[in-house]
Amino acid sequence: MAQNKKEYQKLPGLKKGFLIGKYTLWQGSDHLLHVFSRFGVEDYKRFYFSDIQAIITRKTAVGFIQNLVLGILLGLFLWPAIASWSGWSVLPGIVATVMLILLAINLLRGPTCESHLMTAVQTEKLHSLGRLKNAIKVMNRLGPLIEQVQGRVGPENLDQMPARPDTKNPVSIPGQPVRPSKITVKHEKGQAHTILFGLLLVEGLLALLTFFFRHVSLTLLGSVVSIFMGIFVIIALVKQHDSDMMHSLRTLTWVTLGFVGISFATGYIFGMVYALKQPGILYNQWEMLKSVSEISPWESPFMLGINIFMFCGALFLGLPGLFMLNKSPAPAEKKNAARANSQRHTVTSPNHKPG
Amino acid sequence: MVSCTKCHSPVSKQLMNSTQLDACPSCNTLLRVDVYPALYRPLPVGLSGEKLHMDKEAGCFYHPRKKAVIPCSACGRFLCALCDVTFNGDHLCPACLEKGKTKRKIKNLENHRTCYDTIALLVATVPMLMYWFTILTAPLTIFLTVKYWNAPSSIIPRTKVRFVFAALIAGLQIIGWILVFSNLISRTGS
Repeated sequence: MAQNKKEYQKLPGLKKGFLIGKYTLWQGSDHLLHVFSRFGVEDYKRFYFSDIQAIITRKTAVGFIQNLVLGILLGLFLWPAIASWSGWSVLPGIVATVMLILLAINLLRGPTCESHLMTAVQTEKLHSLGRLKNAIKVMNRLGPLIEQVQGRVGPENLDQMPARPDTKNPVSIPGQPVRPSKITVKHEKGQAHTILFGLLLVEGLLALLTFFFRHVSLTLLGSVVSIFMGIFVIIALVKQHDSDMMHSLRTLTWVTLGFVGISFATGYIFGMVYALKQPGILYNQWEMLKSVSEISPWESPFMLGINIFMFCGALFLGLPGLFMLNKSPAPAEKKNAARANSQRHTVTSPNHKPG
Repeated sequence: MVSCTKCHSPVSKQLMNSTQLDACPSCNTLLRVDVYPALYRPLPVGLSGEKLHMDKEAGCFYHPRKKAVIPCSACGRFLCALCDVTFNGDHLCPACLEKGKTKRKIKNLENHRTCYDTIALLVATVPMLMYWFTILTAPLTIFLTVKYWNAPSSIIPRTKVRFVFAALIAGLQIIGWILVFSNLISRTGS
């Protein structure tokens, strides 16, 4: 019977992505096996129960954002499907059904989280534990196994920890060297952000102009600006990652990504429905552009809604963005601040938030 | 020091081992932190080999001027304290440790494996998107299945079902191509 016992037992949780690979976690007799597999190749990492110092799980908002985006997309596709139930509305109906299924799956899988495993030499992210209920299950299952090897943490050990978090003076554990934070912060000038928020203002201005003028050049310019907004929001997000940029500015960039995503989705749905309604110009992009530019926001409630959304969104994101960029400390001031913190080994930021 | 994985501020003792989600005092993120005694254990200090004082004393195989303290569990070579690597209760020399890793003699040192069963299945299925590729990939799948049938697969438990499916799919593809070609030949002949 003992021979039949499997060497590794699968732990709950899985992260799988197309062209990315698959992360799984397996429980061995004396260690935890972290497996990353892709295209027939597997990489292993072992964490011995005797070496595990801590497991930290943090609830994240990713699941909520996914639900929100899926909900919005569901609404956007459901509306044209229900509004006029005829031949052309089958496609939005199918897409809405897919969105509904994805939303239901995401809701059933529960809230998202990030789990990290800490040893004396590393802090490793456990990718497979991306859902809170799986992470809790794994933590509850591993706890007794680790305690069987290491014993329990006594209250005298916990008393060595600070009663309140002190970000300025990290407390060292006796016998262990103080490890400075390894997160190196780079300086970000915010050029991509400036262009992005500038483009947002241009987009808002164009949305406002369409209330008074209708010309194909305005529609064409709007499309070009939208494409550049999409490009620059991605550049800005990449640039702000692990940078010293203001937290509020980074959050605003993420919100801008949401705004750009919604405006793209809305434009796509509108274009799709409009093209299906007028099959004569379906394969002539220029004719379609001219036709769309002739629609007045005062005549079409959907167009009016899009224009108001674009104007408000662009205004409420572009202006504060440019204002914040203007208010952010100059590099010289930041250098001085860094010099003041020169007691540390590297330029670190205790309040650093990866963005 | 355990710190919040979002704001990197140290976690207070109230948050540790509470078995529930608690808000981080710095960033208000909900956290569960399970800590274990290894966190409070001092880091092991590395030993350096002791110098030989007498000629009669045994020296390390790798450092002849250092005193041998233990023989290698695998090859029997004398090792000084510096060369002695304790692994799974055995005392190994660096060469045996490396050999154990490269020649897969020590399973727990393996950190990479190629799973030919998955590759065979991928070779059998993915080219079906462009079916004419299967004329080449079907025999390749059969070759991979036969050659690597007994090769070590994943460390984690799995059966040979991928190989079986790959061979089955490749077999069907080969039969399909034979039928197509025989049909073409019979048409040309008539």
